[in-house]
Amino acid sequence: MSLIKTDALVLKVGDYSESTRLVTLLTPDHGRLRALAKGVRRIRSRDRGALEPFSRVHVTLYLKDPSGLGTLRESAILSTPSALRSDYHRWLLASLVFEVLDRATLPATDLHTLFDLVCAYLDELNATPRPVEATLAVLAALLEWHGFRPDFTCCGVCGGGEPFAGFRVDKCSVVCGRCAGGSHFLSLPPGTLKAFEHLASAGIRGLESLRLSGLQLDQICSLLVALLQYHLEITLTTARMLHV
Amino acid sequence: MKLTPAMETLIAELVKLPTIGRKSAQRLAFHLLRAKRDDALALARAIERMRETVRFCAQCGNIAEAERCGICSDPSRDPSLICVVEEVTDLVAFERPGSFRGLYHVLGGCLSPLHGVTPEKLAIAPLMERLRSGSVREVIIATNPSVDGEATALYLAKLARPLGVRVTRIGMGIPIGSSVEFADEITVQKALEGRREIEG
Ligand SMILES: [Zn+2]
Ligand SMILES: [Zn+2]
Repeated sequence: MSLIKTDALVLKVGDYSESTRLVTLLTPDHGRLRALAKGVRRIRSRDRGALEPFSRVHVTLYLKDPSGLGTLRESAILSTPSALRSDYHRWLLASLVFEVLDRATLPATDLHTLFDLVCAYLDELNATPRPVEATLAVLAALLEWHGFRPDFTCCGVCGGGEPFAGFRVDKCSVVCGRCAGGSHFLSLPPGTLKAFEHLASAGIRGLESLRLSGLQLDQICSLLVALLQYHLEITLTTARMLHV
Repeated sequence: MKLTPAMETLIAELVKLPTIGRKSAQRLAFHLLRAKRDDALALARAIERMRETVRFCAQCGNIAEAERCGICSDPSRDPSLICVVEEVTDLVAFERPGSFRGLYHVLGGCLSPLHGVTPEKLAIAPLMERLRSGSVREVIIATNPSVDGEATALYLAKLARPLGVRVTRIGMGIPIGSSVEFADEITVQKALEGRREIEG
């Protein structure tokens, strides 16, 4: 049994029983943790408001073993992106990013880079006039964090140069016209490929100069979702809600 | 110590109930054993009858013992006003003060893609069907003030507004992250009275 005090991001909160909630947390030092929070649904609970998805919190919890279920003793809210409460689209984008974090296999320790990335993303999402661009940039960064860096330099099949006809999801690379086709191939115009390259390298705060059309954003989003689903071996439910 | 098979079977069933542990289950089982035979059997029969007669209202999703629930079939209620709630237990909370005279619509939860709850999993299409009928003047969205509950409210507002229906959201009073179900009567009434138009 160990007592853990840590900052954490609340990935999701579900019902465990009538008065107990099951909280999934992303922590910098202890990986992804699940903990029971008792009595938090009651109006007079001291913890009210703290255990909401997308909130950054400071928690104290008991943990028997790292893979098991902890018990939450205390939680205090550090910050919460208030824009998600008044903007459905931002909430949906944040849900997509958090679903990736919830589904993908993560190591049990040292998630500092990932944790800081997601915190920075939430701050950005809360304020930026370009929530879609920021989300696509963080998804590209997540993909790279997991070891899959999109290759824009040469065709992922034959090694040839430009012009490229699209992207091969399985190769995580652009492909030339001769190598186009197949079930993992997505046909994309050069402008979209260039925009994706820029987005993947700019970071979530270097997006001011980027001017993308709605179609380009849709194309890059579909590609990133396909890449994340294929390489991280996950299914993203939120992705199905993006195009309605 | 193992009790008799029949007692163990009953205890195993009781333990499945919320907040009932093995100790409480055993206490209840012995209570039922010592109680008058008719009292104990009345409980068994009440559970059986409830399961056989109670269903969900075809219009609003409330519990009912006929096609329509008691609220939907009450002619004194105002059908031009619909209060949208997540669960039947929330409806019960709004009924407690007794001042709301409109009808309800039970969604069956709130949007939560991380738990697999997409719009198709909720009773959203039947709600829009009701709004399209033209007889509804105002829809009050009373989903919980959680971040997912707010997103659900915004999503519903987006769908309902083009139908020419006034869309309002319950007011403050129910703390963020808490739920309608646990709010007291006065809080619930204040939340209804303090409703405001959803912008966006
Ligand atoms: Zn090639
Ligand atoms: Zn009804």
